[in-house]
Amino acid sequence: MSKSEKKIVLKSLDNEAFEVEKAVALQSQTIWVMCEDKCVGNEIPLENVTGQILAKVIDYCKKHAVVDGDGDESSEELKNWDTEFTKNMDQSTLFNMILAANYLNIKSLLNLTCQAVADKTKTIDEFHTFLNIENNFTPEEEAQICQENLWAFDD
Amino acid sequence: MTTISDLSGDLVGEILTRVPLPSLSAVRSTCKSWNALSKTQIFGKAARKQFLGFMVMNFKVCSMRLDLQGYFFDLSIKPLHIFNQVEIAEVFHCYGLLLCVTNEEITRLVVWNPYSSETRWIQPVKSFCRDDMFTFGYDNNNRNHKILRLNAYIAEIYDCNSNSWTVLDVFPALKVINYRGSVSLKGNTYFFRETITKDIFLSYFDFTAEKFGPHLDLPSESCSHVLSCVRDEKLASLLETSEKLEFWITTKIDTNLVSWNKFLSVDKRPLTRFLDGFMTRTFLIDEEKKVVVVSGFRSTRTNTCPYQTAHIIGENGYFKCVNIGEARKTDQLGYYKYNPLVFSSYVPSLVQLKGENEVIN
Repeated sequence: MSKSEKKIVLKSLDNEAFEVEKAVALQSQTIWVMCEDKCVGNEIPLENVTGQILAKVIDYCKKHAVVDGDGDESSEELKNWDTEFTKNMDQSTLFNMILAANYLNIKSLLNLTCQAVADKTKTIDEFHTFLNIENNFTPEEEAQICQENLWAFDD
Repeated sequence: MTTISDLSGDLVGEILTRVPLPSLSAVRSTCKSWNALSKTQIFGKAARKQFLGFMVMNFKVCSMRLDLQGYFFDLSIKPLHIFNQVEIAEVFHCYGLLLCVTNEEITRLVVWNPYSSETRWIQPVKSFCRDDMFTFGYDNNNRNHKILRLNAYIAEIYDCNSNSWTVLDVFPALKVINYRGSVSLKGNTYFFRETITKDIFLSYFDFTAEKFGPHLDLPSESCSHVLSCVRDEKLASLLETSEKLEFWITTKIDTNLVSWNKFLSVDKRPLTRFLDGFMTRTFLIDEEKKVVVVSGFRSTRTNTCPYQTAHIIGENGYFKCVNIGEARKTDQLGYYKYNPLVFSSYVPSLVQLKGENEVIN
């Protein structure tokens, strides 16, 4: 394989181009299928992902492509890196990451980002404010749901 | 700005299944669509190292949460106001459903799915009696829950799917004893049985074939045992002699054969201060951290009623005694009833209860 074949160009929704190693990009099942089908050239247009989000997805894939082959020692380090990676993301970015991970079909990134949202929301107020969801229950209905689920230790 | 409303129902589900179980109430009361979504897939997972279970205390069903991290032990018990305050004598858990036996002059049975809030009262053929013994399991072919009712005269099975009782073909000649723990594992219920000569052995009821299993081996035949399980996967046995406590875990369970491996051995002699007058009822094993929690009742010369007590036992002689509270309570006939802590690990399930719908409140 020549040097150029090892690289691939990913083009975002807003026309930003990223040249990455093929091994990095192929962690996306969507890109993998596109390459297998040979329906694209060396440049892959990703119509659902902005450059800002794609850059983060590529960071994630680079980290995971490098470390995956390095043996056991790195798994702990990788976990810490994942935690740091999502720690300071605001909710809008997290939701965009979930959409991108889903579109690009990167299972581990989808797991990580969904878990990050779940970890940031525990109480009912957090669900309403952080996730911006409107409560459409009457106070009676809400009280009944709380009563029915008391066993689950909602504290 | 992207919000959760830009996500498809599947992706919202992906997030909500990862919210821990204690937030179930919060998730369900957030909005109607989430409440509906939570009834078609399991939301909330138990946090690691947390055991959620159900038990009876003072004739009330309580949910119990045990946070066990190494030797750190945090137990919370919450009495639940369900079944219109009917007193409950016993509760059995099996694959997401609870079978509750009432403490009334005429015993009644009710099956409850806490996750879906559904309940069904089980109708007897004639009526249940006070010396009935019940065990709860499921058929491995179709996961239908079944109840075994046993007393000195009758052995019958209730199928929760067809809502009907069937008398067992062969009446079991040997007594089942349940005060040493009965364990529901992969649909079967394991317990001790007693021969006419009062020898005690381990056996089980197979809810798929609807028959009693054969005599199974114990780590030692000559000692007193109490039965438990490890994460609904293995059987565990506590073997007690005058000098030691030994905890054993199964390495293999077949229809005719079990094999055991010693997990932990504790010298009782330095611990007589805690173990004298202690009656072991249940125990829980954290295999990974090598910690055991033994629960039971402790009577001393100075107190007239026994205390509910938990002992936390670890490697290298680690031992801690936790007092949980007074255990005294009399039932309707004036007998003392001591309900031990139950360390079954409850896992939510979407099993539907057949029959007339009745939502508890």
